[in-house]
Amino acid sequence: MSESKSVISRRQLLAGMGLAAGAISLRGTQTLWAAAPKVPSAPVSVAKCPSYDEDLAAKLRIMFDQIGGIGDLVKGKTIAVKLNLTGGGRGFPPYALGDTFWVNGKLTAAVCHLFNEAGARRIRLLESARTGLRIEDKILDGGWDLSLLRNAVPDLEFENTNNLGSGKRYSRLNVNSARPYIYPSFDFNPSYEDCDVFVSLAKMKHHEECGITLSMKNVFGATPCSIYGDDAGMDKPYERPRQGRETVLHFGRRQPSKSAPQELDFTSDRYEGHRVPRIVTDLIGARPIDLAIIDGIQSCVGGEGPWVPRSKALPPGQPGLLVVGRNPVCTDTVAVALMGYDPRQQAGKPPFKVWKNRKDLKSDYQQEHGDLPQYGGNVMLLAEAAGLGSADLNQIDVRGESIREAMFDFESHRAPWPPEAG
Amino acid sequence: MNFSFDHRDVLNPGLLKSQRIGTCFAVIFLLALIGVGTSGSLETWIPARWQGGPLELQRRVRTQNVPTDPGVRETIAQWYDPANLSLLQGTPINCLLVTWSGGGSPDTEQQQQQLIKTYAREARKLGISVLGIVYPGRASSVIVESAVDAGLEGLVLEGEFPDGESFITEVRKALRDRNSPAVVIRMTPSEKLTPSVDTPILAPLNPAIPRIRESVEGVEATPSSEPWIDSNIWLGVSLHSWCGSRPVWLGEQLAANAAPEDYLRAIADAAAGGSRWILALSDDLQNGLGRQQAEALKTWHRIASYLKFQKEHTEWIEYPPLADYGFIQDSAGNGRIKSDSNLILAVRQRIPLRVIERSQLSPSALKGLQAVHGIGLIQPSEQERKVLSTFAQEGGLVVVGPSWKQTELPAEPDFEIERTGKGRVVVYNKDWPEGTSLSKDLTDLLSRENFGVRFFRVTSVLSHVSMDKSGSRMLVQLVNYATYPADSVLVRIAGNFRTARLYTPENPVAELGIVKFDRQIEVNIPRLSIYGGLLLER
Repeated sequence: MSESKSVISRRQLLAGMGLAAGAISLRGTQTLWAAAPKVPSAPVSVAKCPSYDEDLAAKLRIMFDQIGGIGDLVKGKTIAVKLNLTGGGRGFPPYALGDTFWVNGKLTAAVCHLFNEAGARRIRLLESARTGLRIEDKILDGGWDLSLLRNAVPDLEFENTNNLGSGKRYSRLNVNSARPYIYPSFDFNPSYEDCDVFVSLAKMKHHEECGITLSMKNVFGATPCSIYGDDAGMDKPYERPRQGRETVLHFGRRQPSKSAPQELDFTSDRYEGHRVPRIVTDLIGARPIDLAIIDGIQSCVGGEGPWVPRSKALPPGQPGLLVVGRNPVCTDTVAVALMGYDPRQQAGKPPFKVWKNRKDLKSDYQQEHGDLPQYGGNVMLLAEAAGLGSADLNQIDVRGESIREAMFDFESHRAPWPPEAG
Repeated sequence: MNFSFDHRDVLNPGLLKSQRIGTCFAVIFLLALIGVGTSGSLETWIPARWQGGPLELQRRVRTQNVPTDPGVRETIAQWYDPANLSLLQGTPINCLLVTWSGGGSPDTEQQQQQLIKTYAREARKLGISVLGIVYPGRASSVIVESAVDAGLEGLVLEGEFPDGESFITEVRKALRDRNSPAVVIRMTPSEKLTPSVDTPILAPLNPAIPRIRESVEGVEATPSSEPWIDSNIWLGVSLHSWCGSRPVWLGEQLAANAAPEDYLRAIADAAAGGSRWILALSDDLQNGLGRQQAEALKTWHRIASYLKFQKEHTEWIEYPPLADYGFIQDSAGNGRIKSDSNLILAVRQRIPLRVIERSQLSPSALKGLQAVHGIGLIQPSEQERKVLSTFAQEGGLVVVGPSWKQTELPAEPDFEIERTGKGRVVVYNKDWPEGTSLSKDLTDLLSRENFGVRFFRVTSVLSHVSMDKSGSRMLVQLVNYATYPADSVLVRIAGNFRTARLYTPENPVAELGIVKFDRQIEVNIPRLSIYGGLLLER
């Protein structure tokens, strides 16, 4: 089967919807509806939303109602919202960072407003930013209107979780899944433990190493670089980290600080396409997501940000989607289908076929192991196998817009891919 | 007055010489009536490289830089036709740097200097000074004699002269011997410009071409990396820390295919650091102007508007830097290049800073600062230690290298922090810590929220902050290095200000809204094309 044919088509999805009702079988997508284990499932709400200037609160209120409401979830509780503010720099001019590869500020304000309205006691916005950079400053840099957030929730809190931050000690959270893959537990900034409700407010995007990034992958950025960064302390956390997570997490070339839990198996595959989706799954097992919200109102393709070669911004109104669910595996599964892909696709087929220019990699895996395998593991299937949620559209109650009506074909908007080698 | 002049006529060899001469003198007469540029002291000179003539072509053949297009070669060859002085109408350019001497055949040099003699005479009538660019190759006495004869107001020495300083001394002496007031300017590599240099105008030879570079060797694009900006703001700030009222001229030359905005950016970048860019035309633009091509003239008018804007705000150069951070610079020290590199990176971090020449280090030089960068202070003297220790005890932050301590420092971490009095001394374990890491450390140690002026949404923008001597006006100069405008630039300033006005070369002065909160103000600049001067008044 050619790669292009492995992308889910509207026809296949329509057929898939039929199959969900016990109707027909599909040819050429044998992996699509492969038998899934018995795992939790939760409804997922889908809405079309062409612009950040829409009444986002009104739209989200309906979506929250469609998944059972958030009153019981947030009333009187401390809510921690993990934002997706990956990277920075110039973005994709002329668009603001929060339009294309960060979660949007207006959307975040609307979410916070609804939590506040539903009686949340305390709302905290979390993200890992470079050392010394306050999250308020980072979002201002990205073009957010801070006053919108302050108006939504006057006592909104922010925490940079890239190190210990304002905490006194790191929180160790064990991977409570049926199948830890890489790590048995993680040390986090305590904000991830000191909350009653954990929300992943993510962006719908391609990803250079994993193929896609949604609500689960967003949590990868919760790992403090003081422990999991390339310049993390060897014995104990280094509170002024400057580097990313390539060495420790992506390629496993070294272990996290010895003060933190080490890998389960040092002989396991070191390829990042193998490791990162498994680490993401472990992270969801350690810090379960109580509410997943995916911003697909505007986005980018070809990579998770402008630093990825051949990535590019989509124009306003594309994909024009919002996705909300209580189970992140189910939510991401629906989101991947909305992106036009088969959520049960095997690694090595789009979107889990990736391409990383060997020239971009000056060291790491390739030098040690030869050419890159160029795949990203299917994080939904890995999470499903770990018992965290269903990646089977047959098992997921999709509410609001139907997938077939709302689907946006990400693959067709990519820059020519795979690019001409050489 | 509506003045029109078709330069093509002048370049047309079919024209009768008498016609040409008649036209030229009519032009010059008219220009003299309306006034072009302003003659004055060298502090007011607004310079432009104005190179052409047969010697220039010969020089470029020698440097293997001769244009392939015969039309361009013709324009360059005929550049010193006095008629092209009309180009300067409506521009503030009042100082032309012409090709005067160097390496050509004696006949060509003589021919060139005769052309320039006439050209300079006509230029002077318009209030325009002419300086001769001298390249290595001729004896000082020969150069000076002809220059005095032509009435040049100065000589600009460019290139590697075999005898170096002694050649300059000879030129100066020869001018003095002939009672000539002409100045001698040496284009000098920036790292060789020190307070002891004897020159009326500081002209660093090798400034950066202001721009954003998408990739820089050795710098990896990462999710959080900002684009690399080449700028000369640091250089202007550095030289102005000791050069007094002497002008600083930046001599970078743009690429042959420079876009119109590249010229504007070069002017703006120099201006923000208190310097002047020596306008230098690309061959294409020079040819287009010579032939009165519409696109070239449009670019020329934009360039003129930027130069005019800078001239109208000359007083801004006099505003001293408003700084949280003092950067001690030892211009004559061995680590000048590394020190300059640290300064470049600190400016890129947008830390409001001023440069303090090592010889000028004193308690009063540190007044108003939160922190002092003393990494370049290798082996500090007792007096220097005393000044910095007192500064730290009174609450300041001092950043120094290992020679501050008598004992050896451990290899990890990079630095140790000593509490002293109300402040801190941060001692690095290397004389020259890795620059990028150091600049980030500075931001962390100072804490960005403690900066008097903070910027947001400025990934393609660099800044320079200054305050007039009365302390009532703060000037925030912003230069956008991207090829697209910077939107919604946000400036947060500690203190209280009544008005905020944005001055740009393109648009009328704009009154901007001020949001006050927590003893700060916030000003949003909706769109910054290339340059903006945000003037705040108490």
